[in-house]
Amino acid sequence: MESMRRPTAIIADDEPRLADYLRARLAVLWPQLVIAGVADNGPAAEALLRDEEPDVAFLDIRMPGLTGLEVARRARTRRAR
Amino acid sequence: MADYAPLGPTGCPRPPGLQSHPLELIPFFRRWPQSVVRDLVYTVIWNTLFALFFALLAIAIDPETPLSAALRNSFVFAQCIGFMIYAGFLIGDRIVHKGIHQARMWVRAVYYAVIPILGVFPGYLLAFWILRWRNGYEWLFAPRSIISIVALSLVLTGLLLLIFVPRERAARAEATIAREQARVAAAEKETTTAQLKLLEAQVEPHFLYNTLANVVSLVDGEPALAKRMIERLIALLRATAAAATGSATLGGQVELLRAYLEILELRMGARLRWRIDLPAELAGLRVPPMLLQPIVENAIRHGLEPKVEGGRIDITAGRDGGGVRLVVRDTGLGFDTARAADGIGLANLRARLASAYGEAARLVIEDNAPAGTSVSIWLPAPAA
Repeated sequence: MESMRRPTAIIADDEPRLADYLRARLAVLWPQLVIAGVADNGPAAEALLRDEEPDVAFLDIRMPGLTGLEVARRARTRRAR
Repeated sequence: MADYAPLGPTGCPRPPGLQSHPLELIPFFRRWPQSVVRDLVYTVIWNTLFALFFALLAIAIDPETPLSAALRNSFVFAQCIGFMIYAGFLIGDRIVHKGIHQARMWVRAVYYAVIPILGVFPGYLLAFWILRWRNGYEWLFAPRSIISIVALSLVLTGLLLLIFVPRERAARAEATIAREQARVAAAEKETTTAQLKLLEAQVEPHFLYNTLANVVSLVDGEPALAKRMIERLIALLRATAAAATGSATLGGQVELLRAYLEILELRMGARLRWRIDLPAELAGLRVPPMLLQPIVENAIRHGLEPKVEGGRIDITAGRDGGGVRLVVRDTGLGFDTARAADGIGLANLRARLASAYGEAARLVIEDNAPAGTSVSIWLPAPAA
């Protein structure tokens, strides 16, 4: 039943309303997607990525603490190991 | 002299022209600036060169002439005549003043021909008196002598004019080019300043679409807040457009900052707190456009936005001594001088302050306690 598992995602945006809006749009456009968590800064997004291991991560680029690009780069090197 | 004023301060020697001493034909003699003493010394040297020439001529014509007598006589004649011509030009220049140097070329040619002719006769008389040549007078005023003296003067003047006129033309052309270059440089600088001003007076696209994305997210659930955000955005755009026209009051700039910070507060939520304290009496103060906006933008973008827990920004204006002090204080990450974006924005601001107030305005960046940055601007006293 592995193929039946619903895809998961996290959202990271320092502007809470933009995160909410994205979540609402995704609920309509991709109903199967499960939002596993929302972070409002870079380090929180990194922790979510590690804990939830989502299929998809929506990362804002300009975020406090760590940019979205940096979060993605670190996640990739962690996976490679 | 006035013709060469643009070249003087650059340290180049004045190029020789009609107003130069003839000795400046020789490059060696162009290294000293024009002065009365220099011109007197130059005249002695110039006359002595003539004396040598005529002494050699005298010996060439009559080899029997003793060298010492030829040298002595031609030295006395050359000095007397040369200094009389020099005096003639001093008096002539005093009478016609600078007018002659702006006159047509033929008028100046006549001037430069007549003065030497007028100077030659008293020069001869002086030399006869010094050398006690009593029969000289009769020779001097004989028609033959007068014609040959006038002819020789005209030939010498003509030769000098042939040499000096093209030089003077070149010097004038050079001065015109230098003036034109200075004018073009000044115009370019003005254009650059205007473009920088306009650049400051623009709402960043990233700011604009993030704000509009926020509005979209609010429209369905919280239409009143969405409306408020659009109103604030309109206020910001209106104030920015007004700033781009070039003149501004402190009150107008504060309105712009209020709109900007309210929008950011709606977007960042609890992470941003702010306060603006502007005494009513300072609202009408005329200030350069976009004076505080770059500082506040820096504080938000590099100080508060990147800080996870956010912070606060306080903008205050007040009288300080004889002037006005504006302070933007934030509790963000602190000012990093290595960050180029800050450097350029603040260097631009410093340049604009200097062009508006000269030395009278100051901009100081300090660390804020316990965290963040404090930027102060002192402006000179306005007419209250």
